[in-house]
Amino acid sequence: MNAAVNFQQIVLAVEAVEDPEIPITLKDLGVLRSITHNDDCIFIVLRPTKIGCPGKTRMESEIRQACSAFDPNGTVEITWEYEPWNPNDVTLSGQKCLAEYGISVREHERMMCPYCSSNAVSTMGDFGGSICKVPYHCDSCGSTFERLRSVQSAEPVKFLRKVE
Amino acid sequence: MKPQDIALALADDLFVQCQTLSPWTTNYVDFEESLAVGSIAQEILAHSGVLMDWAGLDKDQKDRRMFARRASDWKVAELSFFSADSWPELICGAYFLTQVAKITVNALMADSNENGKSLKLVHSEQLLHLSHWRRWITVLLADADTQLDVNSALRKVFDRAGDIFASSTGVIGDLKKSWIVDVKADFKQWGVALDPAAVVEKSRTTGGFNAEKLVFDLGFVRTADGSPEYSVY
Repeated sequence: MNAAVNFQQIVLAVEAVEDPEIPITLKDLGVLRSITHNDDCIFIVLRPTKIGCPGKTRMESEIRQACSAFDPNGTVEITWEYEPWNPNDVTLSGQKCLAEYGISVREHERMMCPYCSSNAVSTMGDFGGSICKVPYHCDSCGSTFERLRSVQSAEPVKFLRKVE
Repeated sequence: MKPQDIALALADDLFVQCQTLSPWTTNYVDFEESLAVGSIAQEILAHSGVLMDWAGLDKDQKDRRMFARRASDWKVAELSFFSADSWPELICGAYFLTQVAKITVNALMADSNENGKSLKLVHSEQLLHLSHWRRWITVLLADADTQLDVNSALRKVFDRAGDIFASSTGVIGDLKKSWIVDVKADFKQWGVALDPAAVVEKSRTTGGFNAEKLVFDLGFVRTADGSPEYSVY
């Protein structure tokens, strides 16, 4: 990395990169795991919420843009680590941000509707648009919301739907 | 057969299964289910990539394997190409293949060291997929209106499962034994009379109409020399 470049500025820029789907930073989501550097390169480690995350290329692209804004000629090495992502990796501010978008990250506590805080909720299936999300319905306010979960620790939802 | 070859064979099966599963993202009428099927198709495509990584292929080798192969060089399980005519056929075919993936990845994990972490994640996701297909089969078998359709679909899939594990000896034979045990347990629970041990073994064939169509379809993604036809980012 160029000696004139302020590494802290790059760190701040990378930490501000958001998830392509929800306006939450990759840092708050627990996807951005580390940023380090040596004289030649910046090393960034990311952890996907699931292996087939479709946003990976976009995330990489935006992180490279963030780095090049401060170090246009620098080398950036991005590594995706295959360790199980866990909802507990989401920061407190990230949890608030996700709640605004109808996503809960409560893994083991009793489920609560992120909109009205009611516990009168029921699952709508094993998973919805993504294997790392479980769809829910709030019987109190009628909202639908999702719970982010760790695939590694996921128990299949005990749920049978009667087909009409 | 070396573990790397087993991983690559499964990678091919999953890559093709993704192609046959993905149209159901829009064909099926239930929105939540369409999302789930789309998610599964996307994930098994990623699993295919992880298996190729595990087998030691680099990015260019992976691309060449999937996009620059001739139809006559494709050799996948018949069920991967299985074009389901109904929802019961789709879930039964997917159930069989997911059992295969779960058992095979589990065996490969035992053959891994540090690089087995990715397989552990694949295994976890395959278990969730399996519970999804199992749930559907359980629900439809419990309903008098759909019971016959599911039994008929299971029979149709059963008749096409002979080349999944085309040997009863060696490593493949061991995988097949595990597969029979797990499928038999589900069949017993469901009250299905079929015996997975009675699947008639047959060798995998290469080429054919399905492989020609696959190569034709992939041509829309990559050019003949394997370079990307489109660039998203």
